[in-house]
Amino acid sequence: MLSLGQRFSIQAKRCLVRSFHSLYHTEPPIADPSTLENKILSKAYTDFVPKEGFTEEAVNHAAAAVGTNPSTLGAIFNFTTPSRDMAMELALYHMKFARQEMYEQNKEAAGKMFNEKDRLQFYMTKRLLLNEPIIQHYHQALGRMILPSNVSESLKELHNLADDMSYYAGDKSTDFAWYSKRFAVAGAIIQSELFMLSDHSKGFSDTIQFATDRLQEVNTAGRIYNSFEEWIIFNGISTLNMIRSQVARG
Amino acid sequence: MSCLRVQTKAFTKGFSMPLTRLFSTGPQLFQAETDTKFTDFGYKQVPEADKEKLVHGVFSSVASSYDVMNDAMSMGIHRIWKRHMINKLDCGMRASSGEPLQFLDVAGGTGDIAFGLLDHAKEKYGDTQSKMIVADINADMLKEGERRSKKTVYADSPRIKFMVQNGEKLDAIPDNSIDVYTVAFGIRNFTDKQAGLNSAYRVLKPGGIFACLEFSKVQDPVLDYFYQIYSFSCLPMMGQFIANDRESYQYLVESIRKHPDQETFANMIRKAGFYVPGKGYENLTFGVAAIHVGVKL
Amino acid sequence: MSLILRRFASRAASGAKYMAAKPVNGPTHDALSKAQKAYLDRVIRVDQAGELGADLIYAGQYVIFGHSKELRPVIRHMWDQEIHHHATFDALQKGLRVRPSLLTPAWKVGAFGLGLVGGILGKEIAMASTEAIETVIGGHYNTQLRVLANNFNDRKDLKTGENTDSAEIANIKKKIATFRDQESEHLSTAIKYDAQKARPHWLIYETVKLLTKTAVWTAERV
Repeated sequence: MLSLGQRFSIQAKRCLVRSFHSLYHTEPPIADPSTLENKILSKAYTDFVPKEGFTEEAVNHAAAAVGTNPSTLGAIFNFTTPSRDMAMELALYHMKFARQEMYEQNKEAAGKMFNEKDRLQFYMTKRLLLNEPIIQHYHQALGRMILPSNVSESLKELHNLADDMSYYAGDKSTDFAWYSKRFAVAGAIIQSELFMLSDHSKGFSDTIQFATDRLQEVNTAGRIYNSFEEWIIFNGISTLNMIRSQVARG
Repeated sequence: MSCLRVQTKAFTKGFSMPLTRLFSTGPQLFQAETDTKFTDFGYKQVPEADKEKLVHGVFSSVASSYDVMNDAMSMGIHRIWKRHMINKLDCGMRASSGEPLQFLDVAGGTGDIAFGLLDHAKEKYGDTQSKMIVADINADMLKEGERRSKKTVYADSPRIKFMVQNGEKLDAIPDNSIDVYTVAFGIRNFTDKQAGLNSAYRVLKPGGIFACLEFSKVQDPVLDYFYQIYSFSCLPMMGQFIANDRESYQYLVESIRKHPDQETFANMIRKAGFYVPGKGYENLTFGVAAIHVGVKL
Repeated sequence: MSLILRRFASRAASGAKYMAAKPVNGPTHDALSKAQKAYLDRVIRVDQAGELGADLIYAGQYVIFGHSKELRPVIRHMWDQEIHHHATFDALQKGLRVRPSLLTPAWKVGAFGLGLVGGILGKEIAMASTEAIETVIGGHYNTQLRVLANNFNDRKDLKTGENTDSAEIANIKKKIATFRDQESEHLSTAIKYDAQKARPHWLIYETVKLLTKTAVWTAERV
């Protein structure tokens, strides 16, 4: 029969996005620098993207720089990622790297804040500013990520980002509000990033203002849902009580 | 709920009861009584020195009907697997790079991987310069490949070379000279598989790719049960009808069962010095076959 | 009324009461495998949904039996335990970053409805459904404990190099074991309060059992 490993690995395939985050067991880093793929992407991201943008060329140059052959790059990447698109891999690397840095660079400062709303806004601002070094090429990355063949991978990463932001901000939702929260945060991220592409204000102050406004809406979203649920239930119970009292009266 | 309970049973069974062999193929011919080193030849134990000869016998006898045999055995799926591997490797000189690739296809007698790789490079990247060495220990198989190459665009082309070579040693191939090493359905027949992997590491350039397509272990126990029935009862019979050679087919089936499973083989590749991306293999058709990759760093 | 309403909208609390305290010097054990994580993910999701359901079933029954001198303390006792279970899994779900079941609104309505309807149909039927639910849940927790005991003892302690359970896994195991014992107490309580006098007992028992099993199956996945 099946060994533990086999049976477990069959289960693991079903789990699409990040799941169960352990506090007592080490967790692999988001953009794991120990793999060859990430070494190439990281090289491309720091050395070649500023000049060449999110292109296959940038990855090819990076591959040559770390001692692999650009002509056989497919063999290294195709067995570990579903996409066959080097530019997409590079764009995803930016998303993962920025997500990791968003937390690592700011966790102490965020820890000093008192409420969830402030922390969420703080992380959002910091995450958007991490786009700054590559902002003139960012449209290429976003363009790649919304191609039909790449969109499912991109959405997974977007969910992971929204989830990280919500969690680190201190989200406590335990029911459907968990979903509405993340959905709304993801929406705010997309809108803000698109806004940022055409923002020429100093220090992206317009983008930050825009994001703050969007997050304001997010904070109400979770509340609206829960109030709605309460309203339904309250009415349900009242109706029931009314019926009961009528029945009891006979 | 009940589904979960079944899973737990599978868990506990998995620990206590390893998969037992369903078939036994008669008494073993050789006993390890003397000092001679033994290796497996199918389920038989044979002296290491003899395996090469015996394998040679098998392939010489099937060379001409090799493709018919493969088609019959895998119901034609081996062509899809090979195509899949070529697409996944996605090798070919990029327009921006000035260096043609040097391929090496080991145990590639009939040449279908070799032609496929060159075709892919040309169609996808317009690469008409990369070179190919086809190596096989068996001159009969190699002749079959050369005969076939006459019908392709690579007929008498200096881009493709056929060499009789023992895959474990690759004597005629210098160190650090190969960009892409492939071996499809061949490494199973090596007397010393680790030695084969070590030579692959030796001949590859730094940054070079090792790729291996080989029969492997079916992961699902139910499917594996039917797969074993198919391979042990149907295949040798088919061998008898198609090629009138039951023994050779019996060997092929047994050698598939004897080949290390995915994880073990991936570890052997690591042991040879390769970097293995991800988990190191991709299962094809539930694990009937698997592609393994390694990168020389 | 507000007591019951509050059961519908929960917010995860954290603290030593529910979770193993955050390790001071970072992780103590090497990484869990992908499969182990996937399993824990499902365990916490389904148990959270289950305890949410149990909480609201007793809430529903309490609406009906809250005025009965005999049953009020009995239901209240069981309900309080379920409230604690529910809070525990809420804390675990939030703290260990597990996605809650997408169908929580449905579980809420369904569970509360089951409690209410059972209550309206009478004490015996309410108790028979409790009997069925607690039977399924007891078995379900036992299965989880078996898997947690057999398949999570291969993780190395980073300091000693020995394979041990981390405080996190130990805590989850301990909580599930305690809850299982309390659930089986509820089962005996239900039988003591005439669960088997319900007519037709087999129909109610089997129907609720099937419902519970379906809900468990779904909550693990969605």
